[in-house]
Amino acid sequence: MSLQPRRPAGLPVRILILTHTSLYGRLVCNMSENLPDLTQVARRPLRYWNSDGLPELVLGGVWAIWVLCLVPLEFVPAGRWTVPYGIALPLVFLASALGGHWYISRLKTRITAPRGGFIDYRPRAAGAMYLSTVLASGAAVAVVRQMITEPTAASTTELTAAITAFLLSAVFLAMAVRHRMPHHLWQAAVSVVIGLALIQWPTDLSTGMFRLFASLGLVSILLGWIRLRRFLRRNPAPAGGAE
Amino acid sequence: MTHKEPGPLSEIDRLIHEPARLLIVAILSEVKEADYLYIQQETGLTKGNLSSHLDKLEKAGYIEIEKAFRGKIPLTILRIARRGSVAFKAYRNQMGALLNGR
Repeated sequence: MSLQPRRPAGLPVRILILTHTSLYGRLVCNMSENLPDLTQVARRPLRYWNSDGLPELVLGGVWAIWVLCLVPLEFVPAGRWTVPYGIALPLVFLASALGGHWYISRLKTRITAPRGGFIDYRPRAAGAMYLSTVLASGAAVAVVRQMITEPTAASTTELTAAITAFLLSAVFLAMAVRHRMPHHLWQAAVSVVIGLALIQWPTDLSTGMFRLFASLGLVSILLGWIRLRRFLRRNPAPAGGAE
Repeated sequence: MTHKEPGPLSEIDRLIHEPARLLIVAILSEVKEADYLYIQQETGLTKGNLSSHLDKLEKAGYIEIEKAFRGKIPLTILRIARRGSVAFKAYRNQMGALLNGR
């Protein structure tokens, strides 16, 4: 089998030399089909956010906060405190998620930027931001409402935690493929296992969510810690500051 | 017999077509701004080589270079200019047309 790139019909050799120099061929061109693959190059900055393990570490911390918030629902008998607590819970969930994002940015400025450089992403479109905030708020309110109003096991609430696990798994899988970051496959696999376990051994919603976020939080913290250590080992602190 | 070059080849922007500069412009086209260190790590170029390419791109008006400080640390911040964005988009279209025969 020839390793030479196929010559498209009608293209003179000098154009092939021009377009298939080694760096160009390796980084930009899909040599097997002679198509420019600048899309893959353009996606490289997306990997910056996940290059150091900090997002996993902070996400694990956010999930640990959610687990702590679910402890009273799990272990304290329901009473007059349940409704106001249920109203406050979605706010805590959202605030911790937004605070987590802010904290990752702060950590990146201190830890990642001096070692691996710095990127500022383009701001997302306002419409997309509002939509995702509304969807996340709606989902948080709906799930907490179910926890408060239907604390006993029922088929619909039993499935909610499992469905959440499968949705999270799909998100991790998409991130692994889109950002070419295979470590997200671990999180996807754990989410699937937890989802299957929640179907096999059904519990009420708050217990299911408690177990889901506790397991995923633990895996995220572990994964983040391993990746951060590896990043720090590969990128020692510069002696004389950045360029 | 002389070989006649296809039309789009003569229109290709040689400044962007150079592999290292193409990589720099492709990355900068996707972000608001990036610093020198990040671009250096992504391209694998030496400081001197990278500075030379950045200088050419800046002179052509394709990128903007800003010297700044984060605390006491000096930073070189790079961002693609409007002209660079247009040139990169045109380059992608031309190369697509050339290689795909469109």
